[in-house]
Amino acid sequence: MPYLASSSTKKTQSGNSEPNLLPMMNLMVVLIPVLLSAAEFIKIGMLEIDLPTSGGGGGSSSEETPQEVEQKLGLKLFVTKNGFTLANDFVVIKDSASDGGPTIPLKNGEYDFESLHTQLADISEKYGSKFKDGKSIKIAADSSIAFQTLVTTMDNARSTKVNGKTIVMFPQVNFGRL
Amino acid sequence: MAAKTASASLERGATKRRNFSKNKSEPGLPPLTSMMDAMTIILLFLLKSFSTEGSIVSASKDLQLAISDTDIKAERSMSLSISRNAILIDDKPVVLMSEVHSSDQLMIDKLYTFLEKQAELQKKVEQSTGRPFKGEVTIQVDKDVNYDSLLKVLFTSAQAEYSRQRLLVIRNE
Repeated sequence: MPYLASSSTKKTQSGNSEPNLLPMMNLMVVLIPVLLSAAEFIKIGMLEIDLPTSGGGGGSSSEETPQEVEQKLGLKLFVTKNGFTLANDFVVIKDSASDGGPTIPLKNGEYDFESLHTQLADISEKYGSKFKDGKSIKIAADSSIAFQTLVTTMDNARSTKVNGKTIVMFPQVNFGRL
Repeated sequence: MAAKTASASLERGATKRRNFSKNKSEPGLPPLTSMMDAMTIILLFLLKSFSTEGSIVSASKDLQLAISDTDIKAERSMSLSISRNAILIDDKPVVLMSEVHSSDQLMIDKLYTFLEKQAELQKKVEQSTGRPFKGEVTIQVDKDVNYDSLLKVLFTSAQAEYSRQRLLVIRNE
C-alpha cells in the first residue's frame, strides 16, 4: 500500500496520471447491451379517424341555408373487389375505358393506388378549396377488404407531393358501409 | 532460523507478486479513454432515443400492424387490439373474432358492455383526480383483419363514448 500511494503521488506530480476507467467501462459494457435489447427500432405511428359525435349529426340543419348545403363536396371512395369507385352525392366518376365498372379498376389483379392518387390529387386541386368539406373523404369498403389495403388507400388520399412540397388533400377520413 | 527463512521467502514472493501486477497493469493497459468516449456517445444516443421516441406505445405480439406513410407519432391511451382470433382490451381477450364474423349487426354487445364499464370507470377517475375523460382509444389492427370487423369495432367503441379513435400503424420512413 505505501508503494501504491507514493507511486500515485509521483504520477500526479509529474502530470501523467489517468483516472481508473475500468469500473466505468464495466458499467458501460453492461448498460449498452441492456439499452440496445430494450430499444424499439420500429417506429409506431397512428391514423386519426373523424367520427361524428353521437346525436350530433344534422343538429344545426335549421340554421343552414340551402346555399350552405349545396356547397358540400361529399366525396366518397368505394373500395370493392373490382377496384376503386369515386363519387359524391350527385355524380359517379366513370372509367373512360369500361362503362359501368369502377373508376379505377384493378391493374394486373392488384389495386392501382398510383391512379387513385393522381385522380384524388386532381379532385383536391380543382375542388378542395371551394367546398366546406373539401378536406374530407368518406371511405366505404367491401366487407372482405384487408386493413392494409385500407391504410394504403388512406395514405394515398391524405397528401401529395408537388416539387418536393407536401400538399394536404383529404386528411379527414370517415368510414361508411357499402 | 527456519522461521527467518520462511519469512524471507514469503517477502520475496510478495515482492514478485507486486512486480508482476505492476508490470501487467501499467504497460499492458489498453488505451481506455478513446473507448470511453465511444461508449459515452453510444450511451447518450441510446438514452436520447429513449426519451424522444420512448416505448410509450408497444404493439401486441400476436398481431402484425399495417404499414403507413403517416407522420403522426403514437400517443398513449386505452389500448384495443383486433387480432386474427380475438378482440383484446389491454391484452385481455373480450370477444372472439368468430363471434364478430357470425353477427350481422354493427354493434358487438360484449365489447360494448366492457367499454361502457371502462368509460364509467374513467369518468369516476376524472371526478376524483381531475384527469379529463377524452374518450380516446388506440386501436391496434392486424393488417389482414377485414373491413367489416374493423367497422363493427369502430362503431361499437364510438357508441360507448370512445369516439376519438386512432389506428396504430408502423411508420414507413
